[in-house]
Amino acid sequence: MRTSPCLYTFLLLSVFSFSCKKSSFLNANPDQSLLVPGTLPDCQALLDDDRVINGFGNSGYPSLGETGSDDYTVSPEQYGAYSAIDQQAVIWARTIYTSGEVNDWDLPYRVVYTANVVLTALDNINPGDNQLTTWKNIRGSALFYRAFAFYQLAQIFAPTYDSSTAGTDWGLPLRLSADANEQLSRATVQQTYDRILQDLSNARTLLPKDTLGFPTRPSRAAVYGLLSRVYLSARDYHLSLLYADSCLQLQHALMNYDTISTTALFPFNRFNSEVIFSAAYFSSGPSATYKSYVDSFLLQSYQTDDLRKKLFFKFGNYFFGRYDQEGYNFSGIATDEMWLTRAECYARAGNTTDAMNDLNNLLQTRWAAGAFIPYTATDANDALQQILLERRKELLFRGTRWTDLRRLNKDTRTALALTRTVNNVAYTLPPGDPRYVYAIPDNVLSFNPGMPQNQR
Amino acid sequence: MNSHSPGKASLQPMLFSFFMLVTITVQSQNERINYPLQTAPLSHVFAVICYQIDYCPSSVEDVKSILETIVTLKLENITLKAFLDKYMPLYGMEYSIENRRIFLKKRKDGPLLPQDEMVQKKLPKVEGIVLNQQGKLLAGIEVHIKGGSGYTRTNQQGEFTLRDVERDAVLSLSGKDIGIVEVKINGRSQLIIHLRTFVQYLDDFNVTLLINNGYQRIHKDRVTGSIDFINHSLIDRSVAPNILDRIENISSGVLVNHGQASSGLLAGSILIRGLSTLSANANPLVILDNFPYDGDPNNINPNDIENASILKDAAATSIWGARAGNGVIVLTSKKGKTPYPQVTVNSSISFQPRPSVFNVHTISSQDYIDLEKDLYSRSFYAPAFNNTLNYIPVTPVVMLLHAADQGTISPEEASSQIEAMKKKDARNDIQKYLYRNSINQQHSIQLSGRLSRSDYYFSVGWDHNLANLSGVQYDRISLRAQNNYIVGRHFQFSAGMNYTEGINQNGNNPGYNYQSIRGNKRFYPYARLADAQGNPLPIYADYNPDYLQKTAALGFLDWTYSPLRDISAETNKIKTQDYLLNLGTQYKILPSLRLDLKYQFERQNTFGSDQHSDSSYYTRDLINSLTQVAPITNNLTYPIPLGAIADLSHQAIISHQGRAQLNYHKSWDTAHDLSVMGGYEIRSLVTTGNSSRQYGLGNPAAISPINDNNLYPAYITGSFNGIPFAPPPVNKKDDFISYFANGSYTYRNLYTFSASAREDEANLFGVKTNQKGVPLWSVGGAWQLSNENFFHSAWLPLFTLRASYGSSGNISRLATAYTTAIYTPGQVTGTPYTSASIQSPANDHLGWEVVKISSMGLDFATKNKTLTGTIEYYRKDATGLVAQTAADPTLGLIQNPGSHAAYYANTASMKVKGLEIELATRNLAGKFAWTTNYIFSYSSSRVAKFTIPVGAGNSYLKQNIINPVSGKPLYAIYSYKWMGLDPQTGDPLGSYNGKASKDWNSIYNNTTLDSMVYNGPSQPTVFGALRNNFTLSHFSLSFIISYKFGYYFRKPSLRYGELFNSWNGSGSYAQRWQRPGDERRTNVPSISYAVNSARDDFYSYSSILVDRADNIRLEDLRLGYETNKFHWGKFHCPRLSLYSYLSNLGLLWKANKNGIDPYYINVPKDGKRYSLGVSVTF
Repeated sequence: MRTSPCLYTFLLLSVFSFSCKKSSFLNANPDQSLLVPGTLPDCQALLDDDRVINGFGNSGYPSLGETGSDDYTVSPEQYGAYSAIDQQAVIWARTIYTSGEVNDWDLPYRVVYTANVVLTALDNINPGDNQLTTWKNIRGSALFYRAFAFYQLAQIFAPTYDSSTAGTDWGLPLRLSADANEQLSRATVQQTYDRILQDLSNARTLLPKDTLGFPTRPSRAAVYGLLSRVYLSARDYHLSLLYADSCLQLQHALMNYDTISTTALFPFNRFNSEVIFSAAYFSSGPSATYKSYVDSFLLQSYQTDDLRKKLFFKFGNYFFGRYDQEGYNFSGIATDEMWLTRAECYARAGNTTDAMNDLNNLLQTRWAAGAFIPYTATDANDALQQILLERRKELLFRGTRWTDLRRLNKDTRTALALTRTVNNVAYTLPPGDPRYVYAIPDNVLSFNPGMPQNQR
Repeated sequence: MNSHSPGKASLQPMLFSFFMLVTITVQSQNERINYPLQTAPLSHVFAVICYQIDYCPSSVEDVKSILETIVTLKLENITLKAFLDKYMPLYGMEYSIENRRIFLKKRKDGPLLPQDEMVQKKLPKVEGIVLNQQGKLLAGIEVHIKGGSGYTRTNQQGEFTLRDVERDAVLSLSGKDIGIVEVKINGRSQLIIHLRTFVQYLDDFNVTLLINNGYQRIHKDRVTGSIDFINHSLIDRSVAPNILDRIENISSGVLVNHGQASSGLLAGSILIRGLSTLSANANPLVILDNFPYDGDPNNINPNDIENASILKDAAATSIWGARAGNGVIVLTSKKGKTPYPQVTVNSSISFQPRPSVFNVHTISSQDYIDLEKDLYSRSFYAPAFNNTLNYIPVTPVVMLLHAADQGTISPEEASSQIEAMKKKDARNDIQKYLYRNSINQQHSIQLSGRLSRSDYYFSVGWDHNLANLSGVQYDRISLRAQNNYIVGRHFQFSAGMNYTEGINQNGNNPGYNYQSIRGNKRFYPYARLADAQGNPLPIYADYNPDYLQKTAALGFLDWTYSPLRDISAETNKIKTQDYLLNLGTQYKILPSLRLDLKYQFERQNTFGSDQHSDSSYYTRDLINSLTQVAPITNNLTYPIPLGAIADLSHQAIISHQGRAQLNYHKSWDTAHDLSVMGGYEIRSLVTTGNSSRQYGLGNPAAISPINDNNLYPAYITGSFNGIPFAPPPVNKKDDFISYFANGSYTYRNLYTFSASAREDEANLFGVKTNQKGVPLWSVGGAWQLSNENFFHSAWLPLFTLRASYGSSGNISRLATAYTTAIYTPGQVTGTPYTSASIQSPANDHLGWEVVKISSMGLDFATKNKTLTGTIEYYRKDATGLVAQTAADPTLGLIQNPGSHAAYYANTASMKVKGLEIELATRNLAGKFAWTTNYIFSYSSSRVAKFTIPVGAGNSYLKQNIINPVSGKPLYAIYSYKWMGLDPQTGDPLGSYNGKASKDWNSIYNNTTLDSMVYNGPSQPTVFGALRNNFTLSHFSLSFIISYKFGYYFRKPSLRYGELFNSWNGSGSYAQRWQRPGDERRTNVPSISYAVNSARDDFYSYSSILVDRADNIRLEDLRLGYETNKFHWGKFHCPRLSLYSYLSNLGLLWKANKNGIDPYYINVPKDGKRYSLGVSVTF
């Protein structure tokens, strides 16, 4: 009899305790305006943030490559207005970071992180048949964006790919999860490239031939374009040719520059017909409008009837030929680049005819109507030299020059010693100099003791 | 008794002494005995009698043990016979007197401690008398058997009788001014119960005062933690409508911030023992009766509150777990106590004259007009008279100067009008028209009482406050009902209901702080708000009046703004309804084991309604700004329909809280007392909110709702604007599950040990942390040294040492275990896609903030309570504080390019230490009594760890941004080193690279934090109050002097850029450097016509403008008349209290020499508040 009240109490407490399902109670979302990405629209929306993913707005892919390359000259006044990092990078200083954050590192890793968040979320979504295409498109996009960011980072912070040393050269920390507590270390250049190629190869199977709308989203053509770029940077000209060709099979249109207004300050529209994938690099230092002059030797290399001379350059030798109108430095993938890549690869394969056909096919759209006389080459090497010059002239301030310099320096025939005079002091950057690889930002190393630094 | 000096009254008044020990002695009179209230062996009483009147006890062996009984009593002027007749039977003795000798022997039939207690289960009869500390017999005290049905009241002689009482029963005594006192019978059939009325004492060590911590009632002398108890007479001392405002200056360790110290994101209006969080809410947890109060504390009618306990250390707060890191305020509401229906009516009215706008130090009209003329001659206003931009407003003086230039007015006329304006001071109009005298009324009626098996309490309250700012008023109606029922022998049931409705109402009255919608213009110093007849006058601060003639001609709505007219053109109302329902049952499973089940439901609805009538400036301006003018035809179209605009919002907070709790309490062998409690708690809080906006009200042609996301060019400025819509809905949810246990054991009233543990789980951080949970715990000990035989001291009857250690916590919602994202509008590239951005990263390691608190305390009371006090020292070690945490940029967590990669994580820590002293002295006792309460707090809190690298010095200057720096207080003032004024130019000189410099740009942008002057904290570190109480018969007078020391403030500064562009500025313009030599008399820089914001910034944030904020002020003064029996003709009532209360009486002393009251820095200064009140009980 004495135990009955106790029993009663116990029962009552038990009922009270377990009457509501504890797990669901404590799993309630604390704030409905915050979403935990868990649906396909959530994932698509994260990838459609063009500030983060495509580098628009106050954002962007690395600009240090453009700052280090040879397409511009700078006056003392312009130089004085640069940020401390840009000032050091312009003169190829051994130490370029003063303090604080390095956008060239931080912003592409933000793309990597967002892509990882989406990939993690997609792992937990089991799409029905009617959603499978969407699921594949999103997954393919995320993989593409991650590969694009890793590729951009590798051009700045990892040595040029060289099949003989790629297995031992230090590449990038390959962040592949969304966990804030992930421990990171540098992979080799080989591993870095393998990861980029693996992601792109997966993306190729997931993304459709047709575009997914605006070119801020990737398509299969973008995947081929990036694959071609990656192999070109690795000097695998055979595969680069194949992928450039595949890309051009899907998208090959070129604008006729004769139809483009010369009165508009920035003549090229965003999402113009040549754009395969739209992205921007950080507008900083010499790549910002009015902050540098186009190299005068380069400027003189444009012939009178070359419309690029009028469309690209205004007020003397300022550059206005961005493929994304004002404000943003285009560093995405466009068909003109693919035509040039295929031409170069043909030339390197000894196929002079196809190489010159591709080059002329591009150039005839760049010249005033009726003024263009097709280029000819005596041999494949002559073709290559012409194509490389036209590549530089076409892809001016498009974020590709630095990578080209890095790979061309590997071959003594195309190697270039860069020189620049700033404030009456001459600086040089010889081919293959360790300063072609930027240092890992100091604060990254402080978070990752033991991570190897690039020696400059 | 050695300190007594018989035959002589010794009175040592010492003015303003905090530690005054005044000894009151007795006059020996013919055979009359006086014995001060104290606790001593009975033999001591006889020794005193022997000493005083020379009647000495004869030593009798068989009463020796009785004479060793410790008794607490007080005798006042009574004869020996009266004393012996009354008390000897109660102690089980009888007496006879012979030759001035008192012979004592045991009573045959009245044993003190019956030997047969084990035989008889129940005592057939228990008799007792009840006295207060003055020895006065207390009538009308309710006595009932706790948990039982026996109930009685003391008669006029203070006597009571109860029948059939269990031997281990506990009597619960209650009555006016004694609270609830519990007395154990312990088998005694005769009791003398000494109670202390605590009208004038904060603390009371004699009675077993029960302190409510929200879960249980704890005996005051068994408390091991730091708890301040505030009884209802202290709560009723002031008239503030908000209960939390009434505890300022009453309890140590409680800081209420004022002035600059109260600004800042997390500054918190009330801080208990300093700040110990960086990003979570710093406010203490407010408990109403048993559960956290989720509504606005303004809803609580202070008249319904019986007392408040402030829980400060771990032993006290850890029972509240993860939400108690900032301290806990437990409010206990009133319940029915009297055995007859009692009606109490409270009424008070307060008056506060309009605030002094002249406390705002502004440039004089004369100076400003001279400056405008000067600027005009320098073509400063040329852009405003440029043809294409001529909508830019200028002041009337500039318009006159321009008109004179244009020849539209004669120079003489312009000059005479300008001279007239020099005599105006806008502050006169602002004070007269925008402010008013404030009148606050507070009324309440309470009906309460107790029937044989139930008690009841009903109250109705009404507050009606008209604020100083015209058009602002607050009304509150509160209803409360609380009932308790006893069902059967084991079951108690309680049910209560609260309803509060508060309505905050205001018009569009900007007060002195007016800023125009465009360009942030302020009232120019000679602004006039009304003409001589009091008709509102317009202020042209957004557009030039000449230009508005053009828009008027086109058919735009009138585009002028008249501040006075606009006050009533908008009606903004916030109605808060709070429903609170509580149910509770107590079931007595065993005599010592009780089960409590409690449930509380609360719903707070907040309805916001902003009615912008079609005549309001807001509506006219918004419609006009988007009105489109067709080319050629000049036809007008209105993207925003004509008519009034209404913003409606509704926010609901719905909370359910439930608790199951087992209480076990047992005492045995008179030496052991064990009390254990434990339970389970569940809590769910949902916050929802949505808002809507309606356009075109009252306009039948308006199409509603409008759904238009287009951008329209503004007619005047050409800038594109969209139609503003209501913000998106809010939907938040807090779920908690907690397990808790608490136990204390006391041995022979000497040693008490306590321990508590609690585990909290919440939906805050995601699954992984929930599974871990965080156990929070505390241990504490108290040693009542004064009860030790070896210690026994007549002059120090109470001396207790306490120590506790434990942890409580805090929660912050800034971080999540999952990755969270938020949808963001718009695309940079113009694609039509919806985009989302990541808000916070997944963090599996996320947890609760933990505050470890160690506390040591000592309580003491000297003989006669001449001096009582508590001294406490504490340290708080807050770790795992959720803060912005530097992250490896490789993680990709960067928010903005160039900023430090960071995310919120449990990485920061803070350390707080402090000392608290509370003393109460009885300086004079008797008919004229004087007591003093002194509270002192020292609290220093420093950030111990913060991972974000120290930024540029200028990011530590703004008042409302927290920028933690390791080793410094969270709110600190930094400044630039001041090197004086340049003797040649009057430019301010700073220091750059160790040299005096005028490169303000570099100084402002590049000075690192370690090169800046650290002035000190911006919140007080030493603070407290002194409260004096005087009583003479029915009259009482008390006043509080408060002090706050050890903090700094930034004085308002002259910024030339602001002065030129926003039409008003600091009055220190008059002191500016004007010619060489001035630098010896002034620190105000010379005028710089080229607006140089770096120069202004440097001066504003220079060390010359930082001063000590220390101040002492007379807070309030209360004069009261209180009587327990009041007759006036036929009218009579048991209690009448009349009082007048004056508050906000102003500064007594301040550290700064600039006449700045740190509570009112460059804002209108509130006037003194006068209140009158009455409280009648029937």
